[in-house]
Formats: sequence, C-alpha cells, structure tokens
Amino acid sequence: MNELFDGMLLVFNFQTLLVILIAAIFGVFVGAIPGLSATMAVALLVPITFAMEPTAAIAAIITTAAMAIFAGDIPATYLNIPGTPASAAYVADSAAMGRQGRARECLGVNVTCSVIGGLAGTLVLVMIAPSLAEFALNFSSYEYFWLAVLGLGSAVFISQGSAVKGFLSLMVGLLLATVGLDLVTGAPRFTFDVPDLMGGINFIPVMIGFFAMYEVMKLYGQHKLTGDRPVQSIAPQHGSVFGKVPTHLKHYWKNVVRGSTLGAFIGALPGAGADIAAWIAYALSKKRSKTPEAYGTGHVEGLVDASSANNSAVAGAWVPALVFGIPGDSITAIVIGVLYMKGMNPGPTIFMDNSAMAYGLFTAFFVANLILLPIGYLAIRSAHIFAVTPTRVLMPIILCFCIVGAFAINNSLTDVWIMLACGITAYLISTANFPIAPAILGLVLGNVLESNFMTSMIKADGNLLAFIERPISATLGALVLLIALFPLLKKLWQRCHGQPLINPAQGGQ
Amino acid sequence: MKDLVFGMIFIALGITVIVLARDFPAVPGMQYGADLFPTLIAIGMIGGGAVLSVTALGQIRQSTVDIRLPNDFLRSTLCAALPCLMVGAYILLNETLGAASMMLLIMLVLLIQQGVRILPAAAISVAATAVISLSFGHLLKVPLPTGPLGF
Repeated sequence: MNELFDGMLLVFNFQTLLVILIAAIFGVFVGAIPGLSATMAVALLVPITFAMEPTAAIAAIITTAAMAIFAGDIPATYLNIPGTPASAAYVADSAAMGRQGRARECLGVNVTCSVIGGLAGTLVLVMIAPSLAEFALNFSSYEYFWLAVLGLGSAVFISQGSAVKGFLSLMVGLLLATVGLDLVTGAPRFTFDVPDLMGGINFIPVMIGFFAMYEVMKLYGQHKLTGDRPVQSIAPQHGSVFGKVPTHLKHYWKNVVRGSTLGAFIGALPGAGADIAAWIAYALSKKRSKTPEAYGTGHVEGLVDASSANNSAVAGAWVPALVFGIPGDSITAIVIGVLYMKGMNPGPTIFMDNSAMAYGLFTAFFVANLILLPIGYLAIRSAHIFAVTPTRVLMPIILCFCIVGAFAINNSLTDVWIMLACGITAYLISTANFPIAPAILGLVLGNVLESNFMTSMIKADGNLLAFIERPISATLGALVLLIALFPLLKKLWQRCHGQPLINPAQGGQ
Repeated sequence: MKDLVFGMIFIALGITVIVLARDFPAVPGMQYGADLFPTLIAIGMIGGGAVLSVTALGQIRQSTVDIRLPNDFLRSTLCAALPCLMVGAYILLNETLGAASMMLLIMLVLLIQQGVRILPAAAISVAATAVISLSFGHLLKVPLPTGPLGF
C-alpha cells in the first residue's frame, strides 16, 4: 500500500503535472496534423525527456501517445484525413458526420470513448501486469526465447501486407541489433572500427529516422505539401460537444465495453497496436450490428467501438513491455529504450525493484486519460487551427528537431548519421510496401532473442528439443505456431465474411 | 519490378553478412560463436529475398504488373532526397558554421523550396532556430557546436 502512495506522489506534484499538461497539448497538436503520427510524436519527445525525472518522462510519453491517438480523429472528422492511422478505420463515418455539421457531436463521442477506453486499458494493465510478472518469475531462457519469437512473429504475421516483406523487414531490424560487441563472446561485430558503434546501435536515432525523418521525406516526395488546405471546405457546425454523448453512451454501452476489452487485448499482443485494434473493433462492430448498412454513412456505433479500442490498445501495449521487455507496438518499442535509460529495467522484477515507479506509471496512465477530457474539449472547440496549420512550414522545423534530437542522445554526430541512414532505408523499403514496424521490433528484441537463444543452445548443448521440453516453453512454442498460421486464418475469415479483417493499406500509428 | 530489385538486394546483403561473419573470432571450447546469429539472419534474408524475387519474376512474366516507372518518379525521388541532403550538409558543416546557422539555412532552403515567400520564411526560420537552440543548447545543456558568429 505504501508503494501505491509513493507512486501516486511521484505523479501528483507540480512538476510532473505541468509536464503532463504540456505533453497533452503537444500530443493534440502532433496527432491532429495529418502526416504526423503518434509514434513520431513520441520519438521527437524522447530527447526532451532526457533531462526529466523518470516518472515525469514516462508520464509525458504516456500522455502524448494517448492524446495523439484521440487527436487523429479531429482532421478525420473535419477534413476526411485521419491525423494518425489509428483513426483511419472509421474515417468514413467521422467525415460523413462532419459534412452533416455534426463534427462536434462526433468528436464528443470520440473523446468520451477514448477516455473510457484508455481507463479500461489502464485497468487491464494494472490488474494483469503484476500477476503476470509474478508468473514470469518462473521463466528461463527458453521461455524468453519463445516470447521474443512470439513478439516478432506477431509483427510479421499479424501486421498488414505481405508476410515475406514483413519477414525481410524484421531481418533488417535483427541485423541492426547485432551491431556492436557480441553479448556472449565479446567480439565486435559490424562495427567497421567506428568506436561509437561498439556499444551497439542506439534505439532512439533509429526511431527518429524511421518515424520522423521518414515522414518528412515522404511528405517532400509528394507533389505538394498541404500548404493551404481550403478552409471553406469545412461545413458549418452546430450543436455542443457533449450534448448527445449520454444518449449515445446509453444506447451503445455494450459497444464501449466490447471495444475497450478488445482493444486492450489486441494492444497487449506484440506487434499489433492501436491502428489494428481500431480496424478489428470496427469490423467486429459492423458484423454484430443490427444496422451494418449504416456504417460509413455517419453512424455512431462503429465510432464508439473503434475509438474505445484504439485508446485502450495504447495502455494494453504496456503489459508485455513492462513485464517481459517485449513491446506491444512501436510506441512501447521506444518506451523500452527510455525505461532502460531511466534505470527502470523492464522485466518481471520491475514490480519488486521499482514498485513505486511502476505504481507511479499506473497513476500517470489514469491522469493522462482523465486530462484527455478537458484538453480534448478545448482541441475540439479550436479545431480550425489544426485545419489551417500548413505542413510545409512544420516539416523543416521537424527536420531540425530530428537532427538536434538524434545528436542530443550521446552528443555524437554518429547518431545523426544513423538517423539519416535509417530515414533513407525506411523511405526506400516503404516505397516497395515493406512494413516498418517489424524492423523496429527486430531492433528492440534482437539482443533479447540472441542472448536467450545462445544461452539456451549452450545450456542444451545444441539439443533443439530442449526448447520445447518445459511445459510453458512448449505452450509458447505452440502459440508461435498459431501466429504463423494467422495469414491462413485471415484468408478463411475473408472467405467466410467477404471482407478483409484488417485494411491492408494501413501501417504504423 | 521493385520487388525483384529488393529481392536481389536482400540476397546480396545476406551473402555479404555471411562473408563478414566468417571473420568473427571463435572462442576456443565453445561450439557456437559470434557468427551463428548473424549467419541465421543472413540465411533468412537470402531465403526471403529469393521468395520475393521469384514471386516478382512470376508476376512480370504474366505481365500482371506494370514494370515502367511512374511518370513523376524522378521528381518525387529528388524532392524526397532534399531533406537528406540538408542533413548531410548539417553533419559536414555544423562544426565550421555552427549548429544554429546550419539550422537556419536548412529551414530557409526547405521553406523557400516549398514556395513560402522569403520574408515569412526568414521570420519562421529565425524564430524556430532560436527556440530549438535555446531549448536544447541552454535548457537541456546539449553542447551544440558554435560557429564563427558565436551561435
């Protein structure tokens, strides 16, 4: 109980609350501008969190992510452009409501469902993570090896698009993770005599390259940046933000519960984040609805499911990240790097070694989701600002942020080179429709996978059967097999229901 | 067509990794050395690259895919390369000209390239450079290089 109070005190102080407030405004801004994703917001935030206390840094990341995922709904409603891919699932409904002059009603439902979804996801995190951590104390290198494979397998097979391309993207990430001194033998690998590479490739410049630099390049690669979006195309709006929310919630409370639960579960799956949660929740909602024909025409039901699910997934993704050090999505992939830097090593012992900070993190989740309501309300009322913010002015500023942010990690220009190389790689492979998330997970999990694989091989003296001799490792191995069969199951679903489970055009958050 | 090129690149990368990994020192008495994991990754790359290439070749033979480059390919690639050139210029010149001057130049070039008029572009660049330099250089104490003008 004392730890719980200590944890709460870490959040309820002036400095941390101020950080949360600023992070909320930053998250709304980045999320609401099309082309800037929630992951990009977090990647840009990391260098700034260096100077902060660990709890304030983590709280800033949590708040930014939660805010950005909601704020993606604002341009989706007003301009028919999802601010982040997590809002893409229900953009047709949001935009239709916007055109009918019901944008405020739509966003009111979005923000309320986001808060409920976020709180539900947090509850799942609070309830599951500590008991899962206790259970995970029994894990040996075999189980950790399978967990890492499970995470990487989910990234390849559950994420969208071609599984071969996902696999190759993963190989790029794993190869990047081998750079530096080998953990078992101490031999330098792929360092090319560059001293800065001896310690391995730092996550953060890679993330900035993959998510921020890449976005800048992508937008410049398009013909014209959204300089002067026609403001007059926004339909005149009427009604209040929360006026009809109670009616909708009363009508669709089952959808809120279903979306939140599903979102937390999907978020907790490694490799599947808020965007996939929203797609699946929307598809399921449509399938179970009495009026599926109304979907896509400004119907609230699908919005309720999907906007609860995407915010719930943000919290759910922290379960494997905290307990096993295995990221649930690309945001938690960045977070794991930050946790290590702040001395809060993720793993089953996190609730013993750092219990106060772990409870502080839970409290930060509750505060971040609650602050979503007032900041979200203000953002909805001043939505026209985001509609006229020109991307062509923001992109050069973001590029300079990327350069200085990458440099600030170790005060080294090598990190700026790494960021540049990763940005170019991400741009090149994404032009051929390779997903980027598997590469990130590969980089984060590469060392976990290799060290546990090598330890297990040495322990078992090369006997591969030892990997499935223990009951938990055998179960995890079977789960990996199930995940590998996912593309087959997806095809079966499509054949039975005549619609894709996940829209193949989406990727990232 | 792109898939075929990427397939071949991955196969070539895989072979290079195997060749480089052979030089990693082995530890006497240990069955598995530092080269095991990179070699497994390389095999994965070669296998995945081969599948991708063969699938792409099949599609090209059936001519179900258009192998011509899109009309605006060169233009969009050049535009996407511009931010990269700017980062390259920053890396090479920041210690000579100073981080702030380089950021100012980068923003000016990119804003003007996007059609922002010179005066607003200059105002935005100066303001954004001041914010970034002050926040990182002074508040976060990042040792950003200073140029001959002292910033």
